[in-house]
Amino acid sequence: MRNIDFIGKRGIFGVVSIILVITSIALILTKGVNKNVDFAGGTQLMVKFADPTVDVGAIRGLVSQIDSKASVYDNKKASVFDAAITSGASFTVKIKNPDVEKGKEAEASLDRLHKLEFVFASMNNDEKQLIDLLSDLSAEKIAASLESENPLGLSGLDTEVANAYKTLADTVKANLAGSETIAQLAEKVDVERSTKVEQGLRLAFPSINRVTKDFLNAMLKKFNPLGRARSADYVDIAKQVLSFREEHGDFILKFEDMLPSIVVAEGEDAAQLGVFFHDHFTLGTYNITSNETFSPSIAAEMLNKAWEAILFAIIGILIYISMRFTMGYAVASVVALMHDVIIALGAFSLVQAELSNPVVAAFLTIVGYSLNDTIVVFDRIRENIKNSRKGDLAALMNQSINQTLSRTLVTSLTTFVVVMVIFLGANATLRDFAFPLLIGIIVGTYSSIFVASPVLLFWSNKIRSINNDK
Amino acid sequence: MRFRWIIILLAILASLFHLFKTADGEDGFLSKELNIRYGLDLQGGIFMQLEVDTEDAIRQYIEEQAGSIKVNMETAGYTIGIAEPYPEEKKILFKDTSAPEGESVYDKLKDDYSNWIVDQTDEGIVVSPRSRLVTNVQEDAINQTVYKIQNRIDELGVTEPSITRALNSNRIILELAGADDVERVHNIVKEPGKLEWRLVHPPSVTAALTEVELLAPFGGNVPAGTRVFPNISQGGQTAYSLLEEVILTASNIRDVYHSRDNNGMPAVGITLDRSGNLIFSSVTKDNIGNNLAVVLDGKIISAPNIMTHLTDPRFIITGQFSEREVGDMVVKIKSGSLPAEVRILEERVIGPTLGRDAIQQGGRAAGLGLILVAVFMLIWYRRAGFYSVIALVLNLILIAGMLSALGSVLTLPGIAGFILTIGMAVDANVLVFERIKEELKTGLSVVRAVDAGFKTAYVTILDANITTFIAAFCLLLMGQGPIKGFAVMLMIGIISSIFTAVFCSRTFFLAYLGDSKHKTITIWPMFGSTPVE
Repeated sequence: MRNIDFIGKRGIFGVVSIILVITSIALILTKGVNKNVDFAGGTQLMVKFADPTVDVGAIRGLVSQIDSKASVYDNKKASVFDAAITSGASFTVKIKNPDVEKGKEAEASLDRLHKLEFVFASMNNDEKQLIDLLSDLSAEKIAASLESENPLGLSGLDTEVANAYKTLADTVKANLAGSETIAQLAEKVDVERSTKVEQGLRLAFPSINRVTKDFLNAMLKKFNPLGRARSADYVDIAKQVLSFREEHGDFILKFEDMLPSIVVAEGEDAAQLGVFFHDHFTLGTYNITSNETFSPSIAAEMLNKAWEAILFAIIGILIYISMRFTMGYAVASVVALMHDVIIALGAFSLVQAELSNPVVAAFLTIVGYSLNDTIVVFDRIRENIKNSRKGDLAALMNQSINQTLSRTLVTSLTTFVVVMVIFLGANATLRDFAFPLLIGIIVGTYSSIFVASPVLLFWSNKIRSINNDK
Repeated sequence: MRFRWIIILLAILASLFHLFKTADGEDGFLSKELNIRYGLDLQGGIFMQLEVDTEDAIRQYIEEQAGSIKVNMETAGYTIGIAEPYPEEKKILFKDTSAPEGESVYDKLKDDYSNWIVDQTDEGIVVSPRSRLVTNVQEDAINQTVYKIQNRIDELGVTEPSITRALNSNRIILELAGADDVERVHNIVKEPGKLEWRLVHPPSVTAALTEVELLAPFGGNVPAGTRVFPNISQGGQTAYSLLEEVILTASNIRDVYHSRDNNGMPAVGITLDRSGNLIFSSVTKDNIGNNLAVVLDGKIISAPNIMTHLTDPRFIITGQFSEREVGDMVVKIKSGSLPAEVRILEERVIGPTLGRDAIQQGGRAAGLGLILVAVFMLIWYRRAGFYSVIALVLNLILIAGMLSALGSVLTLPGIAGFILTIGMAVDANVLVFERIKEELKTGLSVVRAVDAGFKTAYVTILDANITTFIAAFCLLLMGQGPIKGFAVMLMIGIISSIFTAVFCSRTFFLAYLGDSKHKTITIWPMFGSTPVE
């Protein structure tokens, strides 16, 4: 029978733990714990480019002009599984806590999105594509697209609305020469409503690489290139376009590549579909895969809720353990638990990782996990106290820890292995989540052996003997 | 013993049934895809949390009412010199007032505006809304915003939009699966609905017709100078054709409110502004007996018949309305103007590729995790380990089945929870196996050691898991969308792993040892010495 004297060496481990906890607290207080956008407020956005050579430095330079607080990360090194899945280049842009007037967060976030879109578009000159498309199209076609979008929010007689957009389209055509960007063009077309005109042009001629299935279907229905019945939908076509895009690395590079693989119903003219795509879409070279914005008020609220959740969990567990065991066990397990959470938070601060909602979930899992181990040991201590006549608590504890040691190690190992797999294999969100768990497992295993029982012994010797409790 | 197998079999069948149950409208007996709903973070879409500024709604209401009460009082023959709104203090001050012989402005206001507190002060008469009215105005502002969004959401072509009001709050949660057009959503949320009044053509309508029936007399074509609008005032797919000319818009309406007709039946009351009244007066004069449609965002919400020439800026729309219908209509017409500022607290736009990649990565991670754990268990516990691996696989099937049966959504953190469960679920088995080993070392027979191992470890397993369950429950209460998915997954995983690791694997042991040929079971590691046989 293996018998390691854990309790006898509790002094050494006690010092180690105290040093670790104090270092962690010092780290948390001095370096602080970084907060991600969901707790700090701000925007986090992921973008993917068709062109794998897009350089992180180039984007960083342009994005920092939009907001000096912006940071850009290259997602390439994100996952060991990614190589097989992702082609092209992918980046994350974070803008934390931007200076925004209260109540104007929505406008600001949209404005930020527009500016970022402009930066992304400039990487491969998408802007020119739209200008070229407008040059190719007749004023009538531009007018029809604008009218269905109605960016100026015109109302009244249909003919009046149509005329207004025809005039607008004519002005657009007249000013195309010499305009390098859509913003410049819109400025020339209508100074007062230039933003609306610019938005309208972008919305009326979207990038095929950014449209969703539902939107593509709605657009096809509106312009009805295949002459289907009024109520018929175009889900079949939209689905084919999107699956083609998906099979080709999420980007359609040429309409000519895609069109032959689209199957239309019998009697329908596939060529019309080709005309439709050419007339209404650009081939954008980037794709925003996610865009999350949190206002400062909701961010503060979330952070509060997160602390509440952790606090409630600790109180709930304390009550449960004091019911199932006695107060001494409950206090000892909570001490071990705080020890784990503080050290995990300290490690978090050390590597400057960011606190976010998934991370709080991970911390709560640490709370549960750390207790899991501790309770297994305590359960055995209680059982051994019951079965033994002689009352040397320290020896009984040591015996209990040794008895449960292989279980503790095996479970920690299996859990550690799968969390490691998440850490190495999954995407950025899940990696943030797996990192504190990895630390939590190591510290939790350590504390259930070296912290929880000595604290229980201390409580029993100094405050109230647990031998006499039921 | 047979009883145990039946329970296990039933659990598996129930899980598989839920997982492969064909959805409504799907052909065949088995569904081609797993019946698991993905959260917005996995399938892609827009999530928005909005806040309606209800204080702003009150401010706007006070400003509106200052003018409106003045007009109404003056129509009734009273004079109100100045109506000064104080939006911040929630009050209106009426100065330089006078009343016809034998009447008093104070009494008239008290009688007509029972929802207001009327006070005579040195400066003049001060009215302020009662708290009941304040609540109503705030509620209306939220309902109008919800309605406006609901009504315009099909502009986005989203198939299953979800717009819910967070319970007892001024928050609105918008979930649009498959959408990513954040610009349009902003427009829908921030801009007022488009409200128009147009004459029906042919002028008088007796019964609601479908579009085909409506156009039949015209050879299926839309008559010149008219447009066909869908009619949502009654159920069914009916439509009216309306004249292209717009008579009034939301800008001509001063106020919309609950009212009653002469018989005390519920009706919609409308007060127009001056120019609106002039137009309306001339239109009603020429169109008695004809129908006038109220069109909101391109849909007809009501098409009442004009009964008389209306000269009063205040009039009512009657019909066989219930209180509820009137309330709805007031909300709908009001949503043509912005009742209050709407703030976007949180917006998440997730493209479909992100979730797809995450599911693939998660699947690979889960597979790899499962293989690593299984290999370890087989080496470390051999036959016993083999049983725990079977229990683990069973566990994963049951978790998926429970997720499907509960109808809860799988989120990105939920995937992490699922993978984590693979590592933690074997814990219960490890506890049991280590206990069995100990019992074997004390010299117990295999059958009795197994029995004792399961029995004593059971209490520990429960205690340890309930604490994790409490932590997961707190996480669930914290209530952030995707994280909730993690909490649910953890809770399901705990319940399921207790069942599989304790009940199922014990059944496997019992079945194996029940056969008299098997006197012992391999539970010691493959390498190294075996302390007891």
